[in-house]
Amino acid sequence: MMEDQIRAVICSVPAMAEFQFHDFEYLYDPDEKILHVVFNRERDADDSFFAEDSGSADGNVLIHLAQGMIVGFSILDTELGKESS
Amino acid sequence: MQDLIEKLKAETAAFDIVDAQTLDAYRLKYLVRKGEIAELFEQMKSAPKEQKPLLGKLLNELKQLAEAKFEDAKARVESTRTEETVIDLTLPGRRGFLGAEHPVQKVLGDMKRIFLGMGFQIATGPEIEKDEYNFTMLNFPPDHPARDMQDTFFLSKDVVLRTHTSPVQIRVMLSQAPPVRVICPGKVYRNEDVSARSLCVFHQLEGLYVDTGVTFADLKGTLYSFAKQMFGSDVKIRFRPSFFPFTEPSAEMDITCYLCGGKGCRVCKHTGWLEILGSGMVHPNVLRNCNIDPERYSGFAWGMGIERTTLLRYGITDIRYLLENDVRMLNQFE
Repeated sequence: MMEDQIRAVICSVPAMAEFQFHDFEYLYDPDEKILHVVFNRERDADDSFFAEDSGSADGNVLIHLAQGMIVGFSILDTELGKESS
Repeated sequence: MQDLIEKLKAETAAFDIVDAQTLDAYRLKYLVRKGEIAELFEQMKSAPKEQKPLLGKLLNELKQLAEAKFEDAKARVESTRTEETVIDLTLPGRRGFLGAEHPVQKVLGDMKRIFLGMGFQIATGPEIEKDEYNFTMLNFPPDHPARDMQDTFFLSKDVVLRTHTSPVQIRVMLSQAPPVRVICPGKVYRNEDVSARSLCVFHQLEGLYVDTGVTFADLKGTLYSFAKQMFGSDVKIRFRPSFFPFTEPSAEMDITCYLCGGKGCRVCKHTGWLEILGSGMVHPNVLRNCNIDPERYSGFAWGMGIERTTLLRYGITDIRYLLENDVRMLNQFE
């Protein structure tokens, strides 16, 4: 299942450990090959940082913050979610 | 891309943050959503996949350094801003509150200046005085009512709190040969109830002039000159016969009421006159007691209450106001 795969990515990044049981939405961008995952749709991200320790993630992970709180992340260079687009 | 990151790292390090304006400029240039560091994160998305971990690491470092610099500078600028707030040059200045001379001291000072201008000198003496100087040498008979304990504070049988400043005149005459020209200001004590018109401690100013050929005309001239300088050039004076043990003849001096000019009002009790002092020619017995020959020398003396004169001068209705230290009253004399 798509959601399980995304949750596996979440669990592989220590900074997002608290979101492993959190609801999320996702959107795949086929042009840039990026899967966007959103924890909180109400808040727009104002900052980002690179998840250097996303060991088991399929691709590189960019975590998005709004006023210091994680509101979502993007998996770069991934095929994950391609089928859903 | 790596070069861009290094270049931006050097640029942020060199950015000079000196105040709130440059701090905000730094934040807007590098740290906001559309800032240059966020822009590099966007560019990283299009970098080759195998370079992304390295670029991401470098970008994280750049971001942390830039944010740390911002936080340090923010703390520094805010501490400076606090000092600026304390010293706000746009605030109006704080007015200093100066003390003012007490009305009694003001009146006393005016009197001293007038008599010093006439050539009198200031003499002072103890407030605890011998009965001899306070009464006996001033020609008070042994049975005079002023010697009663109802009127005088006796510290012992022969020592009193002086009831007038006349004993200072005795001390001066005992210590120097005529001519004598002195005024004696100071506190005196009377065993009286405190009321709107009397106090048990108050100030007096007495004067003494002893020389050859001193007459009542000198007394009148001196006190008339004083009254004109103290109460105005239009003032008129009158003398009424009176009695004091230490002067003969004795007289009380009135001035025309400063408020109504002699027409009669509440202050002068519709008489047109205000009593301001007692005076007279020094009694020959007093001169004799001080080893001055009354056949050769004569003199005059006078005495007045400073508080009473202050009441008259400023139209104060209760003498106790002068001692209450109520700033609402005292501020009127600044």
